[in-house]
Amino acid sequence: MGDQNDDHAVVCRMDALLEARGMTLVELSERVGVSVVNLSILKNNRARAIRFSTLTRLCEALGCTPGDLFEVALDG
Amino acid sequence: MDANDAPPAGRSPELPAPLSTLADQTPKDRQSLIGIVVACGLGVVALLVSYLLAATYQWQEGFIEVALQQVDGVTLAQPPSGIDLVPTGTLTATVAADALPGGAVALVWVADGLQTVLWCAVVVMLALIARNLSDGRVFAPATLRLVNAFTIVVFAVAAGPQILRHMGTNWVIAALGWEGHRAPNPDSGSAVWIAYAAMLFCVCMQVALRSGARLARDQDGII
Repeated sequence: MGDQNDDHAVVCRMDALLEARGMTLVELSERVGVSVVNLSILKNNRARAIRFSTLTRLCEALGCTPGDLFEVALDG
Repeated sequence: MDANDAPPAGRSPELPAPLSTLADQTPKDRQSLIGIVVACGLGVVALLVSYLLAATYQWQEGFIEVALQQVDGVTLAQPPSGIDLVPTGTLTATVAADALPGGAVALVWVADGLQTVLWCAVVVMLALIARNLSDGRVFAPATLRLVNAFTIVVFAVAAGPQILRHMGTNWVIAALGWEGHRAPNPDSGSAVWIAYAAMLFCVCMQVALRSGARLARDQDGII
């Protein structure tokens, strides 16, 4: 149902943040209250958007800012 | 996908994560689905068995059944109270098939068969729609296509067999020697209006699902 070719260059850096904090995706899922499947979609850059409420909880759980969690990978 | 990505049971770890974030089937949904499938299966069996029994009996005995309106000269067994009962409305009559043109008999029998097949199709399609709904694919294109097809089949149930039966019954009436204004009319019954109402409901469902699908597309992929 979802459009796989969304025209965006937002990259999620959840992998690096999880590794730096020694946290697993399952633990993060429990803390944030978002399913592992949906976190995996977000982590693998397959999500189309994120709710502010989810972003807030993710930043709280990971102790980071939205800028730490996402970057825009522009060509050149 | 690393070790942190625990894939759902039954899903290969090599596959990419699913894109849809809307499907959310619960065990209760699956139980409901089993109930619906069993009910639909029983319905199809009951429809087929009742049709086959009636058709076999009519075939063996060599008659057809026609529904007529406004038949003059019909008498009813009067009740013990002495109050007059006057027949009105529909009379269902059996007519020997040998005395009728083959075309008329064929039209009535084909109408009966077609009606049974279409009702079975309605029940099966309802089961398929229920499966999609319980899978969480309420607004999936496949569900919309199924509802479209379902609407067409419901319309066919309302129109197809009735047209054939109407033609066949008219032919039977003519073959029996009735002519002019004294001839009874074929009776279509209330099934047509029920099917018509069901078809209108299906059209409303289509509109609702199309609107819902647009909303779902906006929501899908949002974490």
